[in-house]
Amino acid sequence: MAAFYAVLHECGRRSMNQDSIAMQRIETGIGEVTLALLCDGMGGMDRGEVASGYVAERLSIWFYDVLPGVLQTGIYAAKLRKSLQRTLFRIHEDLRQYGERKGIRCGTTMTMLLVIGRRWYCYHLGDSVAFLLGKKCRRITTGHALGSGVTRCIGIGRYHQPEEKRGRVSGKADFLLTSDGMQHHLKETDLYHALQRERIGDREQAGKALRALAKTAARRGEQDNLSAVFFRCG
Amino acid sequence: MQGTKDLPVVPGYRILGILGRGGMGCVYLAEHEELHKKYALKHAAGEVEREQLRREAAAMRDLTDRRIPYLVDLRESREATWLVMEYVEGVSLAEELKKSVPLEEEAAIGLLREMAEIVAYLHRQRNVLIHRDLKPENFVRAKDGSLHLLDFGTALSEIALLRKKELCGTPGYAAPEQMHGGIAGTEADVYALGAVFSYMLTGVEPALPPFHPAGAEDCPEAVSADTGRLLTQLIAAAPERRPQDAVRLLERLPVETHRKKPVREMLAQIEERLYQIFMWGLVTAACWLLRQRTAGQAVPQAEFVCGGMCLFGLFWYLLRGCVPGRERFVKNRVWNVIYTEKDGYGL
Repeated sequence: MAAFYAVLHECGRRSMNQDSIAMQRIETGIGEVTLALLCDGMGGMDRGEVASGYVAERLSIWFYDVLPGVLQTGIYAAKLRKSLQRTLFRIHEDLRQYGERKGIRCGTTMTMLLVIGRRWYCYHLGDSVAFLLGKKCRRITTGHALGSGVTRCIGIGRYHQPEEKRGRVSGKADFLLTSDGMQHHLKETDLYHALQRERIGDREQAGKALRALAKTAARRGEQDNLSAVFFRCG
Repeated sequence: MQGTKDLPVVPGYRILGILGRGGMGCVYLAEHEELHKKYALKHAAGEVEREQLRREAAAMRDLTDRRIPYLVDLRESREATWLVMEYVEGVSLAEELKKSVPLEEEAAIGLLREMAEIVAYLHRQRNVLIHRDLKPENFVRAKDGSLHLLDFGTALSEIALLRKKELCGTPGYAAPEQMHGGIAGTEADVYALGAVFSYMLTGVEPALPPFHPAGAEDCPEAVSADTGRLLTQLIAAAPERRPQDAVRLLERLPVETHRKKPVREMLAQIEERLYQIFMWGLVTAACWLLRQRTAGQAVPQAEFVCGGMCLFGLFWYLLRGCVPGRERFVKNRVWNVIYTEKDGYGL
């Protein structure tokens, strides 16, 4: 089955969507490499959409400019991590200095999934969530949040290394990245039930399911932006 | 055409299959139930995508050139928006070029002229229309041999430029001012044509890392100095150094080109043939040697020669650059989508 993705990127009840999403995929000498990224610009801060958009932009450039060079010599998690951390540190410093120049606090969370052939790597900072949807719903990331505040992010405070999780796609599996807006009023079982493999056959169906989940969250009183990425490896 | 499972229903049309999927939605091939004529149907479901489809319809509404698909209908429902337009049957220029680049200088200039004529039509409109996403994938060679320009999803009239806030275009083909969130005028379309021209002359795909069109210095020796200068002007970073629009570009295109003898090209072909002959010779010698040994005859000189040839072949292989470079490592971009409300490029 061919790989496909569906994206939900809705404002919800806010005037602006401060979340940013990037989906990138290339064919390489070692197979297909996919990047799924969800950044939740921090609404309590100023210009959250700038922070999240900038991270999406810079990591897409990293994906095309730097990652192929890293993968050419083999797939090594340590090399990947080092290359990504170097880029994230620069992004963090750029955002921090931008905030200082403008006199604002400009930060974002980041949940990034990199699928190289049958291997997946998840890098995470903040309170967005990544799920592996197989026979059951497995939460990949741990939340970096204390109460309603985020304890780790990009652009504000000191630099934090992203939390890394990795694994292999064995058999049939889908991935789902969601912002915290999709978490407050939706349970994991809601997400899993709506996006079960038997129900989702193509991009249109996945898109419909995500929009239905967003409607449910809004109906239950969600105020935040609603963003999610559903991705099937193929 | 891609899979036809679970096709949507559009009143008045019978969906025959999927022509393609993009970041903003799906394009279907459909047949009008009464007229039995084929059309291309663009579908969008999300709010952003629906708005883009409406904008595409607005951009295409007044265009009457045969090389641009005519607009048939714009349909809205609660769930989706549909854009019905002419179906151009043919081969995309990207597929055509993938097999044939680098092109001969005359062929590249001829193709550039064909593309520039269509874009000049847009630039001559009363409300100048800027396509903003010119690339080989968006040109189609129809069955009658004429070139058509598709996908007006990112097109804008100049009046709308000042309030436009989004990243668009394809890295490598989009002009620097467009990628950096500045105002992209007709010069941005000229840059994109220059990037396609660079791809035709050099064979280096601008849409792959490092996302820059190759310059005149990367052209084969056979390309004339005048064409090299034209390419340099077209892909200049500063918009004011480029021809102002596609009309001016057409004026600058040479009527005839003066070709130099393609020495480098010929040498490369000879080298390729020699390498093939050498490798066949090596395999034949190895087979012969194996047969001799299995027959119980020792041939030490031949083994020595064969070993030497293997080493020489390996050395040659490395010299020819057979260790894959980054450009060869990345073969194709499949998806390239960013959803954001951030303005422009960078901070």
